[in-house]
Amino acid sequence: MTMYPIKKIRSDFPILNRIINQHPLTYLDSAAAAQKPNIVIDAQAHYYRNEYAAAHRGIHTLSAESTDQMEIARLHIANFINASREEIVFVKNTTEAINLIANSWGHNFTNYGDNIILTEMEHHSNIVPWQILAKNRKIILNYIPLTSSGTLDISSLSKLINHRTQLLSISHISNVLGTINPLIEIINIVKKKSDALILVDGAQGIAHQPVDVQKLDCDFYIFSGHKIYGPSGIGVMYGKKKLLQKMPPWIVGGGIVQNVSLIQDTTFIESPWKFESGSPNVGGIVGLDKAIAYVKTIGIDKIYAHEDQLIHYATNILQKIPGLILYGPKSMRSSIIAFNIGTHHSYDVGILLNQYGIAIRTGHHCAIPTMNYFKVPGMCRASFAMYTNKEDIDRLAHGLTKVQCLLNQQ
Amino acid sequence: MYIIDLGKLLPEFPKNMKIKKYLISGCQSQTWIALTNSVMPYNDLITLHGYSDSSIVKGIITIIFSLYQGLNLQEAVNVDIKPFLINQLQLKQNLTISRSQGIYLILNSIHSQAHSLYKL
Repeated sequence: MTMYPIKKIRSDFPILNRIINQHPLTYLDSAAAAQKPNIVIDAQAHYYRNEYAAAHRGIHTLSAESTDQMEIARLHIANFINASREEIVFVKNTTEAINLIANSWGHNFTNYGDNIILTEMEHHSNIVPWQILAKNRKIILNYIPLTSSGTLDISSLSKLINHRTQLLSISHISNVLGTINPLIEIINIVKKKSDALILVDGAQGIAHQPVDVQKLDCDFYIFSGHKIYGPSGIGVMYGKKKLLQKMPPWIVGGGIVQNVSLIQDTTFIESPWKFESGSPNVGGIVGLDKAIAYVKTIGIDKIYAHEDQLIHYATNILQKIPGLILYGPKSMRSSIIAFNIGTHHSYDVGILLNQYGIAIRTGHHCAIPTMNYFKVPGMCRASFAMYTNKEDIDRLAHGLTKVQCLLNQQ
Repeated sequence: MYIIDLGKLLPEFPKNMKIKKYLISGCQSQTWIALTNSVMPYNDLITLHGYSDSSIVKGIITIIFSLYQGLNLQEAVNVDIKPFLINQLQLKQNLTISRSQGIYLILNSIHSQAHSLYKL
């Protein structure tokens, strides 16, 4: 097995050279926003300098080039998750994808008394749209409960499923605890007992584990580009072809109509394009294409193995810090470590770590139900990416020791 | 960290005041601010009570309260301490925008409580 090229990778991410508060940047907030390699930044700049135009609209060369870039990217993304080109819809981000599904599929294919299954570890984007749908369509929401180890209580899933279950919407990896959910096992249980659709929220999964939508046999898999080293404001919704054909467009307008008549119904073009009204974010798509190419060059399996080593390394070091409470599972965990220092507020820990140039996330992580389960107002979260190294974790541990001294002097 | 030490100067927050009315919503941390005034004739000096589960926010509350020290209700309604906080103490350099918003929420709470007592 070849060595993991961590030095080369780190040199490809220019922001890692930043000095923050007189310290080298220790970036441990990749679960919120992963940094960008040069290839992504350069591709976007090149596109805007040389090829920018409206895609799918014009008759001229530049427009044709933009359209090609967009459609080639669609093909590359489809290959990356083992889907076909017409199953890839470009959206803004994961949140928009869930809202699209809740509005387009949910409002048209659910009825009074149906139910949807979510989990207690979802972030707000995978709760609130369903709550609104449930209120409007008079349907029931059920939740797979959490366990104290930070995993889902799969044994209670069967009890939640019945012939009125229309959807299971579940995160691939928890954004707070890093738990890797056993998707295949869960999907099998649901499919055996119902005809429910499966939506996998891959916001935290896509950059850390290989994704094969055929193997998963999910109906939707969604993710944000910025979490897989791509630009902000571009995301992907994979949907099974038959399903996308059935679903009406949600955001409607220019670029998706076959015919607009003032007296008859407007007719729409085919999916996936019918879901992409308005001017597309071609610059974002070009950047995302290059981000995925970069991940493929390194190899998602190698990235997973590297991050897995880091998780074990970090867990071992952090649990030696007296008074530090770790949350989440001991195994089947990816790239995220959640913790608190005694009863100190995560906000204090985060603001003090920032003085040493260490960037972590603090607060409720847009997952208040998870916080409520663990009976804490917030948690500290250190999250890793392909460019994270052992020195980052050493600096975190050292920083936490200093922060603890400061806070304990009270 | 001097600011954490400042937070220790905050007097104990009255237990009966830990109610929703005094809770600042929108802060990352749980923060309570309560304003009372003396009902002695010719003396309507205000008293501020504050608590946060964040040590750093407690330090910020101590600084804010010190600027209201010795003010009566009318003065508390009219005073604007934002420029001093932001420019003189350079809190902006040390706090991110979202934290500054927390400060504004605390100041707004003090102002609106003073305003409603003043109108009585």
